[in-house]
Amino acid sequence: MTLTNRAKLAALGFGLVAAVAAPYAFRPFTVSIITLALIFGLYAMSIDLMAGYAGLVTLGHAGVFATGAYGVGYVASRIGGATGQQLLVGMAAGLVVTSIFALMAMRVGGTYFLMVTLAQGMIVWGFATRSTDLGAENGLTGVARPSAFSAYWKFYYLTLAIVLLCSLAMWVIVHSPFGLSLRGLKGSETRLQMLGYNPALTKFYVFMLAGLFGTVAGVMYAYYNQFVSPSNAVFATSGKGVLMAIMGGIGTLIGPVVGAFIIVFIENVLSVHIERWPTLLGLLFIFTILGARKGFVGALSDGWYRWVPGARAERSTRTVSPLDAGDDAVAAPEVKAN
Amino acid sequence: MPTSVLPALRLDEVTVRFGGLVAVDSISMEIAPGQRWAVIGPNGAGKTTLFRTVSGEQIPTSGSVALFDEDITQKPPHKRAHRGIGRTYQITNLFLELTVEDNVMIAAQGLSRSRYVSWLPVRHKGPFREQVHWALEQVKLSDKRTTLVNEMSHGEQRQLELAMGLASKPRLLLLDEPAAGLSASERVLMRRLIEELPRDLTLVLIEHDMELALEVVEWVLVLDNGKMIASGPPDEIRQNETVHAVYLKSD
Repeated sequence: MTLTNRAKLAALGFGLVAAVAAPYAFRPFTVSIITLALIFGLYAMSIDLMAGYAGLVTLGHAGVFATGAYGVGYVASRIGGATGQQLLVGMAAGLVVTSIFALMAMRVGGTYFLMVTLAQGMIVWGFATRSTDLGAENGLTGVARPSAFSAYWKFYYLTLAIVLLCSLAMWVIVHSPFGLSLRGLKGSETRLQMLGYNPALTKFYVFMLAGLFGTVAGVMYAYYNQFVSPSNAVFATSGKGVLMAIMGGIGTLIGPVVGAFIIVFIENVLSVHIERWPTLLGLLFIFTILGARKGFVGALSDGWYRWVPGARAERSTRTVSPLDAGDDAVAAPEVKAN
Repeated sequence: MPTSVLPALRLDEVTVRFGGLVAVDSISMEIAPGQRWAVIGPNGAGKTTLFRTVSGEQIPTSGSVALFDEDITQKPPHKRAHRGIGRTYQITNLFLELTVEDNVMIAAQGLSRSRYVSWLPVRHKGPFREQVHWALEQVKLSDKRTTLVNEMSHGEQRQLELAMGLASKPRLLLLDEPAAGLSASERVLMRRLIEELPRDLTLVLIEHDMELALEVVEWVLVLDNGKMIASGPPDEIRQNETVHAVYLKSD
């Protein structure tokens, strides 16, 4: 195993141990903030699946996020349904709205994709603010956490388990043939189409996957906050997810989680001490764009390869292809050369 | 070129208009399987537009395109790829942030249902791995598999363009100015690579450089202002005064 892979494994192990130990090490308020950061980390990862891997930057993902949250909130506060019904309605609502949005956006790209998704988020926000069934601008209150997870630390572990499971699923997706085609879509849609891929179908599929994980984040957020309001669907929530992904490192899975932790802690912890925290957040974002375009994780990775001699050597001597592992045979396929 | 077998590609009175401009004017051609054709002409002759009508990126204003006797005139590019058309681009069109092997892997899995599989790792796909190795060997890039495309020279990127076209094992390969921007030595290599392509592969080549084109094909179609001005074997085209006049005019 290479030094870099060992370091990655060690960081992952350390992160997992720290995550499991957090409720024992921190006071309830801090654990609650970590829970929120994990939920937004999942939300930002779902955005990154589209923006970072497929090059489809969405400005309306909060619409999907909020729909999942409203599904749970509606059943909990208006119907009084059980947790199972809340989850079912929350997930179904999120996926139905996602599929409609995906059909709307699958045939456009670039700036048009931005505009269509921006409008989609505004549609959900507009609907939520006007619908009296959804509490209009007051939102929905009385969303209770499942009784088995009502204690703050139990809810934390539930969130951690769900975020880890979803992260694993996204890791599998981005390393699959479909994940590779997403990166192709980001690189050149015309070339990808000429190679036999239907770009519209590829966009629909990734939109659905991102919507699935975004909905899960929304459902978890409803239980976390125990309150759902139109602010969940507002453009700022969509923008915040994109910001988290960019700040942490777009095109990586861990980056959006790191970005979520940075932004959630600035919003909820530093804001107590610094009155002008939005200015701080703005400056941090500008410095990220100017000084570390690959985000926090990208800068860390570049620094690792630049300053750690062993890692630098690994990068410069990497000549053996992963394709070669276990099989060196090169067989001519059906087309034969004379 | 008259053929007695089922043509690999048949264009029938293909015309492309952009407003008042006729970019391709009533072109007809018939290419037998395994033949190598070149479409040549000065800048603005309509070569690339004609290519795009075959690849599906441009639907003709009138006329029809048939691949192995199947009418594909209205089919989008990805459906044409599934019917056996591959193409390379005049301006390099690669996935620059990926490695060489990932580029070719995307091409290799493009015609398989597994391109939409999202629950298995990409490298476990054995047959595609062989296709990737084979395509890279064909273009002499086997030792560059893990190189990022944006770190390669222009010449190597042109070679990779060719590998991308080959990896899906097309029946008809369209090469759009494969030697564009290459140095003299790189052109020699590119010419050799084209000559060494599988002989059962039908090839249509666009090339601004008449000499390179005439050396690697059996039949040549010459365009000027969207119209066909000559068609015949390379030796005949070399002697054709109209062709000479067109090229002298463009120079």
